[in-house]
Amino acid sequence: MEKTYGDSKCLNRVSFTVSDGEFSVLLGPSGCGKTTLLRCIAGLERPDSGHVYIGEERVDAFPPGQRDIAMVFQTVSLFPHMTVAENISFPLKVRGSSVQAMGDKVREVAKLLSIEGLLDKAPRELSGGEQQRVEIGRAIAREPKAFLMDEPLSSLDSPLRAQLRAELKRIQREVGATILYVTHDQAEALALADRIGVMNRGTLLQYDRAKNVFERPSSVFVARFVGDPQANIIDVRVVRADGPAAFPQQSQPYTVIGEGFRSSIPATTARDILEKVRTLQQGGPQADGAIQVSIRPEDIQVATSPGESGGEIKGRVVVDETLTLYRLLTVELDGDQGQASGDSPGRTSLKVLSGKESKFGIGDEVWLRPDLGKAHYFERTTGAAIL
Amino acid sequence: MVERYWYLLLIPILVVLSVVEFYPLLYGVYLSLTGPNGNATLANYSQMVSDGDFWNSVVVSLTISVLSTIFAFCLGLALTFLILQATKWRGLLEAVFLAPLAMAPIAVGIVWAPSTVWDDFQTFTHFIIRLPYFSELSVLFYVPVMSLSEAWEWAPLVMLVCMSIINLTSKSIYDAARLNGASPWQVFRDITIPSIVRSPVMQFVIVLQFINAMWAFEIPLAWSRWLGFSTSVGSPTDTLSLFLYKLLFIPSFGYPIQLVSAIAVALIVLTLVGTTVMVRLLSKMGN
Repeated sequence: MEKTYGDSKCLNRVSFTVSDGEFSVLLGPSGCGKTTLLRCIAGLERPDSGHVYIGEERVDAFPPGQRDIAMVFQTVSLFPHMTVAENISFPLKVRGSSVQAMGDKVREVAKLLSIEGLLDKAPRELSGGEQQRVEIGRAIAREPKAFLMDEPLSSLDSPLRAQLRAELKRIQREVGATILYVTHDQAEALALADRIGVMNRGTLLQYDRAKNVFERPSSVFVARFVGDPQANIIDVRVVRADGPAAFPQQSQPYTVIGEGFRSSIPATTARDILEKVRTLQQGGPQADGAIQVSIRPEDIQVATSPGESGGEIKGRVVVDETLTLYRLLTVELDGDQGQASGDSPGRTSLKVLSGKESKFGIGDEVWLRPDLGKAHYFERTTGAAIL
Repeated sequence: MVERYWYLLLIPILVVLSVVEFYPLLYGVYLSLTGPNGNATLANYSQMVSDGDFWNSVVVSLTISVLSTIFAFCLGLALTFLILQATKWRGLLEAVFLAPLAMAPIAVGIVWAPSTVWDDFQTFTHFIIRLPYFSELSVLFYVPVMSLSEAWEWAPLVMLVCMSIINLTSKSIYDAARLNGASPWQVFRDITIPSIVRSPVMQFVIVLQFINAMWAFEIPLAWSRWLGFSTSVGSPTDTLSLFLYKLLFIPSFGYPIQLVSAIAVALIVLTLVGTTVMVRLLSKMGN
């Protein structure tokens, strides 16, 4: 599917499949085109080109009402002059269901969502969470082929959001619903999704099992966007320990060097990286092993003194944030350790996790040992994954 | 300062109001309560309620008001529905529909009258579609037509208010209705109309239309001329305003100014009572 608004490409050759009964989440920053994509699928907007298939059927020419898709919106879309029960039964009424059938369905849905007590109330008498429940109920009542959900929980406050999130997951299992869900909240995506699609600037960067998106990001954007706290992304080069990597030879120690950053790397990994970079860059001006590495804060060990084997990176704690389960330290690396490469101005700082009880304080000298085995490497200009 | 002497700030507007509003009103009430010699009396009112032409005008005014209010609302809704269906040229369509709003009521009275519209209309219906003639002089024809032409002038305002109410409602409500399989007509009937009727702004416009129609003058005047009632009172075109006009400016009727004042006061009271009833009714409907 493609769609352009004026000069800006809102959807850029987006293509993916949601399997039956699957909970798929599109994740991306606001303005990345995920809502437009959803509206195109629903038929509320018309893509410039591309097709939508529901099951085997191509529904491009169908108006929204005939696609048999239900949608839950970000803003409340309950009909204000109808009671909760009337709202839930509206899609059935439009299809000419009998009063008896509508009543049965409303009761069934109300039970599923535990809103039996609200059926006679008007939408304005409900709290935000209750309204969103009713919206979901209205979507479920008509038993559509698929559900589209556009940030349905984003207007709720945090505890309620977590509660409704868990409930949504339970309901999806019980009903066996096929859901395409849109959010900018990566925690929500990871909690809900069987499959996650990460979008940025109208492009679907990666569409994969939730676990894979987290563990094998396809691009530097995905690595940065998925995961909380955010991964550290730094500009580095892979070099042989004794100098620039002119030609990788066996059994030579390799090092990853950045501004203030230096860490040894297994020779096989290094050779793979260099090989790949060479092909990708095709002997361009930067064909010297210049890449980006992404290291998650949880993959960096932090200590108050250097270990016996050496090889740690020295730095200084500049920010100390106490979060719910751990502390997040921002460590500024000493400038004289690495090799000034000239292409990353300023000092590098890394975010690392430490236990709640640890005694690091601001200004303390610390030694970091990143686990490069769990790091991800990306080509510097395109951001594409190398390994 | 301002908190304590707020009433001082009201003085300028009160002065203006008392000159242009309160004085004429109170003087009218005063006149209606005095006899020919300046003595206090209720005789004007008792004479008024025993006057058949007065009651005729009350019935005419109320009929035209109620009919034209209903017509204006329905017509405004119809225009709104048409505009909502237009995907192209919506601006142009709106401009065309708004035109009656800019017309002088007397012109509306002339445009809708038999010789300009209905004679040609009958030519078409009778000779082309072969429908029987109907009498343009029948009360059952011209009272609804008068109401309709009153409504025709106000429908664009109803349409404007409808459009602004629709633009203020969350778009996702309409999206949700469409996605649930509602046809454009079902969306309009089940979602749009209820939200329009519930809107306080729309209720205000309806009441305003009622008041306006209670004072209808120009269109009834034009019809009164077409039908040959210019020099008589008690005809089905005589709204209270037109009745008052005829009493004042046709000396042969010989109504004293005190009696005319009593009728003017009655018109105001009737309008206030009608308005109150409507406000009650509408707010009950809204809930």
